[in-house]
Formats: sequence, C-alpha cells, structure tokens
Amino acid sequence: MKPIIEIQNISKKYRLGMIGNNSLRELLNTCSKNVREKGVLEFLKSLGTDEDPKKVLWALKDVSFTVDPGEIVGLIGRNGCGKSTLLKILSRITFPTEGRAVIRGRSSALLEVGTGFHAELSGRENIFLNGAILGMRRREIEKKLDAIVHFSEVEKFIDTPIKHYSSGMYVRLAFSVAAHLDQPVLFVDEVLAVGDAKFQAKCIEKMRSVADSGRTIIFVSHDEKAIRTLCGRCVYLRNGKVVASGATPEMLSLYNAEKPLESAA
Amino acid sequence: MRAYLKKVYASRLNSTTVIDANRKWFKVDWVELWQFRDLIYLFVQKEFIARYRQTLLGPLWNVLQPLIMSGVLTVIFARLGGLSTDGVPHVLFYLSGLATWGYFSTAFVQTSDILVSSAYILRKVYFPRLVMPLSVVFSKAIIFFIQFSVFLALLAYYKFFTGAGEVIHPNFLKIIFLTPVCLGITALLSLGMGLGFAAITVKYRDLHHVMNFFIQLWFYGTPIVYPVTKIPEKYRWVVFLNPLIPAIDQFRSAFLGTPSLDPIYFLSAFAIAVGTVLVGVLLFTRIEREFVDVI
Repeated sequence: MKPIIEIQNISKKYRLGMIGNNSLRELLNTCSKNVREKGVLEFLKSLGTDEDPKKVLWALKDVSFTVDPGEIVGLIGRNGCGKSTLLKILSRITFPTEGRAVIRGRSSALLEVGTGFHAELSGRENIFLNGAILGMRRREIEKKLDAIVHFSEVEKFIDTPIKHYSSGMYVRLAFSVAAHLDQPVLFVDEVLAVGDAKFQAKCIEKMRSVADSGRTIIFVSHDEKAIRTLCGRCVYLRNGKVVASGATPEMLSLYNAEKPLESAA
Repeated sequence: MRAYLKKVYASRLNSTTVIDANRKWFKVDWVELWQFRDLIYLFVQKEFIARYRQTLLGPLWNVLQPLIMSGVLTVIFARLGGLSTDGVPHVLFYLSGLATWGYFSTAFVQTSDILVSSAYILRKVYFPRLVMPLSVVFSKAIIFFIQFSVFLALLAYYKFFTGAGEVIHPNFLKIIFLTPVCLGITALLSLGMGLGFAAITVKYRDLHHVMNFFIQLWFYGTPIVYPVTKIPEKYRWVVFLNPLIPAIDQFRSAFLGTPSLDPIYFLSAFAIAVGTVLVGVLLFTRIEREFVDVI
C-alpha cells in the first residue's frame, strides 16, 4: 500500500529582516546601512549573491517522513521547532523552499477553529461559510447541519448573529463545524478541546471517534495526554530537523529527556 | 461536456496533491476553482448580509446613493458649471455613467486590498485565493444590476411620460450586443487592476495610500460628468489609455442615443481589459506563493 502522505526533503527558508520592507524608506535605510557598513562595491556585489547567512532562518531543513492511511501521527517538539510551519506547508498555506510533499486524497487543515466567522452573520450562516472555507460543498454542509447544530448545543440561538454569542457558544459552534469535516486527511493544530470542562470532554470523545473512523491525521499539540491517547506514532522535531520518529511513548520519553538539557543551554 | 466535467470532478475528489516550491509563472487550477464555486457564492452572500444587517433601508442604499449623487452632479456641473449632457436629461446622463463607474471603482478598490484585509483568514486556511477577488467582482455586479434597473425605470419614465422622450433614442441592436461587452470590460478591468494592485500592496503598502486619490483622478478622467464629445480631437489618444471611456460611451449611446466614438476605441478597450486580467492574474499567482510569509 502506498503511503497517503509522503514528505520528501522539505525545507523552508525565512529571510529575517528582509520581511519588513513595507515602505520605500525602510528599503532605502537598509540599503544605505549596508553601503555604510560594507562600502559601495561590496554592497553591489552582495546584491547578486546569496543573502547574509546571519539573516537566513531555516525553519525546516530536509524533513522527510511518510504516513500510511489511517495513521494518526503526532508532531512534537519545542516552540519554534518547525511543527506549525510543516503543518502550514502541508495545508498549502505557505510553500516549501525546497522539497516536495504528496498527499493522496482530499485534505483539510484545522489550524484554528472558526476561521472566517463573521460577527454579523447568524450561527447557521456562519456554519455554511466556515464549512465552505474548510473545503466542504454546500450540499455536504446541508446534510450535516443538524448534527453540527446539535453537537454545538446552540440550537436556540442558531439564527442569532454570533456577535451576541457568549465566547463559550462561539467556540462550541466553531469546533462543531471543524469536527464534522469529512476529508480523509486532516491536519490539526492545537484545536482539540475548547469550551468548559464538560464540552472539552465531548471534544476529545469526538476527536477519538474521528480518529477511529480510519482517517489520516497529522496532529500538533503540546498536550501530552492528548498525544498519548490519540497518536499511534510521533515525529520528533528539533530546530527544523527530524530527530526521531517512532511509537508515541518512546518519542515522548525521548522528548521529555531532552527538555531540561535544552533549557539549560 | 457535463459528463466530462463529472469525470474530472470525480477523479479530483480522491486526487493527489503535490506540494512543491511551485516556481511556475502562470498557474491557475481552474478545476479546483470550480470546485470552490460554493465558497464564492457564500462570500457574496456574506458581503450582502453583513453590509445591510442593522440598516433601516438595507440594499435600498444602492438605489439612493447614485440618485443622490446624480442630483449633486446636476446642481454642480450642469446648473452651475453649465457642462453639456448631450441634450439628454441630466439624471439619465449621470446615472448611466455612475452605474458603470460605481461598479468599476468599488470592485477595484475592494479587490486591491483583499490580500491584506483578509490576511487573518488566508494565514489559517487554504482555498484557491482567486475565490476572494472573484466574489468581490460578483457581488459588485449584483449592485450594478440593482442600479441598472433604476436607470431603466427612469429611462422608461423619461421616454414615455415626459417631453424629453423625443431626444432619447435607445438602439436595441447596440443594447443587445454591445452593453454586455461594456459590462465585461468593466468587470475584467476592475478584476485585473485589483489583482495587480493586491499583489503589489502585499509588499508595498504605499499603493494603499495612493488609491484614494488615484480613483478620484480616474473619475474625472472618465466621461461621467461630461460627454465624450467634449474630449478635444487633439487628446483623443487618451481614450486608448482608459478602457472605461469607450465602455461608458457605448453604454450611453446604446440606451440614450448619444453620439459615440469610433468602434476602434471600443475594440482596443476590450483588448486592454483582457490583457489587464492576464497580467493581474500573473502577478497575483506569483505573490500567492509567498504572501503569507510577507504580510
């Protein structure tokens, strides 16, 4: 069987300092600073060549792994290790600088819940808008509307503009739409449990049933308990590189063992 | 055709997505865009609901606004300024220009800012980015048709119930064959310009500041408050630079029977509009690749 997700040598480069060139003045400032520091000749030479290595950040470097259909894979690692960047590349929000990934099937990304919710629209209207943004067709959403509304527990207010919702109602509705996506491949970032304790338990329960339905999920979280219960396998990233990949308990103990070392350094 | 589309669609449902550095120059996935047509519809719907909820008059504003504007223009340019309207009732003359102009300017301004103003969505989820500008152009087209119906109603009134009926000569052949092209030029031009400006605004916000005054200059450079015949022969080449001139000119001459420019201008306007869209899409798809990292 072919792996459903193949990640081959993906690298992502960010250019520090060059990003903020929003105005001509800043651009001129950067140039004149460079000229003063290096001299005109050196500066002109540096324009044609590669950037200053100090100003380049490789958020990901040569990341490769594969995921088989039906696997739930956790990405673990400290803040800034590249987990979210990788998820953004897989969900096509940003592009890799090098390498490629192949995804065999429809996919959707949940990097936050309620993306595109509009305050003036009613709960029902927002379900359609948000669902469509996440890649569902209107017909599909119609079929699932009752289930979504029921799960969110906001039936009474479903035709009220969501600006009148409490924050709890808002996240419940947002999570419900996300939880009813039916793409076979999902990329999930930290949006596992929202709302009060009771609803959070319901969210975890829902995610487990989504996981059991044979879908393939790549999951990023700092919540070890969630990783342990959901993911069969983990990929451990550090400084944009894959350190190790394997069964969840081993990876978590590896990760935990290295944590104090890193914070000391 | 339908069967073919169905087949393509079915194969795409379980399709393979390849993600790579994507350095191609012109890459638009039309099939994918078609799959997201529901999203375009829902964005248009959102635009309307969000704009008119909690307003007393709702979409009626789209009718009132050009009418009030025409009134103001009548007082300032026709009465005080003494600018000719080719003998046509002032309100009809101004409305015919304002409807097209309003469509162009609102769609252009909103599209040009679309990547920055919806960055919060684009940073979190993927869908074909062209969905957003297209939904702007469609929702503004609906507003155009509302204003257009008002224009038609007023036209009928003036033609059949007032003495001015004698000077208004609608040309039905032109209405059927030329006005859709006028609308097409306007839509394509606003889309193309909007896409191009959107792409550049991502990197250089300067354009955002230029917009206001740019639009105002363009307004006076377009025959809305004056007839095309007022452009001196010496400066006729200007018409080649501004495709809106022939678009408004032909629109007017179709419905009101005012004298129109040589058809060559109209053809060139259409060509420029198509070219603008191509360039706009090109710039837009280029910036698509990196804008999330820049914004």
